[in-house]
Amino acid sequence: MIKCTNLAFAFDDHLIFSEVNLTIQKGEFVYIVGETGCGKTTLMRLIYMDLAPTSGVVKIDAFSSISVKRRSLYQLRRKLGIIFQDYKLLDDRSVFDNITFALQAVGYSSRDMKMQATQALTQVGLIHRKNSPISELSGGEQQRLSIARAIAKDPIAILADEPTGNLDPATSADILTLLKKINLGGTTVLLATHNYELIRKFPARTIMIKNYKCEELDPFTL
Amino acid sequence: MSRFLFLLREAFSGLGRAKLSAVFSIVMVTLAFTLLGSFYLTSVQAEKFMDYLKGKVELEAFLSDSLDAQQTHDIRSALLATKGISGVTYVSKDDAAGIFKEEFGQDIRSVLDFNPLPASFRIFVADRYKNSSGVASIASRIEKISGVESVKYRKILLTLIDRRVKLLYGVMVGFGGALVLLSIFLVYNSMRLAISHKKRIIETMKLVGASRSFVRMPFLLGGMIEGFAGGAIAAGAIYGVLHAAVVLMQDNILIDVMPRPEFFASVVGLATLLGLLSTLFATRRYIKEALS
Repeated sequence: MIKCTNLAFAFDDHLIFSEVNLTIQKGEFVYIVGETGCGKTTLMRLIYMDLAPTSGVVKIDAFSSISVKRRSLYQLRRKLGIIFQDYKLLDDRSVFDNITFALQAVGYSSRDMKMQATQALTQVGLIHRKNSPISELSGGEQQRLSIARAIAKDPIAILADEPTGNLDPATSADILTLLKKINLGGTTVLLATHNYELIRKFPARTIMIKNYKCEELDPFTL
Repeated sequence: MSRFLFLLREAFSGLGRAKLSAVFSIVMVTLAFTLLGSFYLTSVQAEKFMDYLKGKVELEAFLSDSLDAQQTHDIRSALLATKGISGVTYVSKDDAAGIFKEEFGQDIRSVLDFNPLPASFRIFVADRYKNSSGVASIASRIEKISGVESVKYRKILLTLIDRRVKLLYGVMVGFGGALVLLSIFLVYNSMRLAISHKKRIIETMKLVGASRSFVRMPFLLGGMIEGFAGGAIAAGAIYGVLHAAVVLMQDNILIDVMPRPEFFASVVGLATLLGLLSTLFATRRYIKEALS
């Protein structure tokens, strides 16, 4: 369902990847690891087609980086849940409104919006904070909210770029537990991280970016 | 409906975030359309006055004393066949003496023992020829008709009217155009600021899968709101000033100055359109930048 074939990407003549081949099946939980600056975020951006590969092709669901039109990329993004280290929440809205805003933007009806937002907040354990302003949330709660926003629209895959980067170990473990739970429901999860301790604690298929290429690793060897 | 309300709320929130520049844009649109509207009304009144003056444009063809009735009739026919002439009135020598008496209080025939005033034709000109070159071309054709001794018309007045009309249109197009351009620039700039203030929201919209048109819509609505507000204030200001003028100078107003409601609707409509177009340009450029 996510397939990168002979993927290469260079930025300003600076090579980031060459010949990356990667297949992620529906319902898999996959870690992308590597040193800082190795291109984890770039790979994520290539997968959600925020960047176009220099050569090769990315296929996700029915979308191909070769044939997709920029103006129809939003259709792909509607099928994905994207989570960032810095949460990308809207500070001027409440917890609940952060989710309904995202659902409104993708065309949910008012009734469905409320239902989906309530379900998502319940799933991440934030329903009791639904009316709180963002400034009152802890880092862990903010990341939970960004996960709730991602899952509210029932994505086929979640792409999480360093979601625990700003969190303490206990909160990071909470977030991983949550993502694992979502994955058990059938949603593919692709998580970029450099937190190897977390991988050892929650082992799953691990792909390392090294020397411009991807290679599979045994998570217990990290 | 809820989607529209959402977009409207976002539009107002965008204006609220760039409050100062939004207020400045509205003030500028108000100023531009108040001036444009006033300009338009002034030019309409000026045109009415010019039309009134042009309505007075006529020529006089003085005839030779030796003409008999048949020759005079032939001249009338020739005049009526001349392009640009809409009608003629014959003024006999006796009629001319009567007019002289009316204007100067004395019968010229008793003063001089004879009537030196020539018979003439008063010639009325079709509307499209009521300018200095049109009247001059008619005059030169009349002069060639046998039996016509001379042709007279108010050449200086016509030249003056022509010059004033050209100046009026020149000033209107130049000044009005400059004001419109300035308004476009200010609304454009206000939207650029609103977009940069809402960069995070745009980014979030993009990541969750909002279509490009959905991202643009709140800004377009914001631009239309700015234009509408500016236009409505301008229309209100023009109405207020004219209403006060009509009330205060009831007896002195010669021409009806209060325009029809369509005029006020046009001011608001054009200002809204200006807001929309300026924002369309701004969003095309800056949303792409914000998303890249």
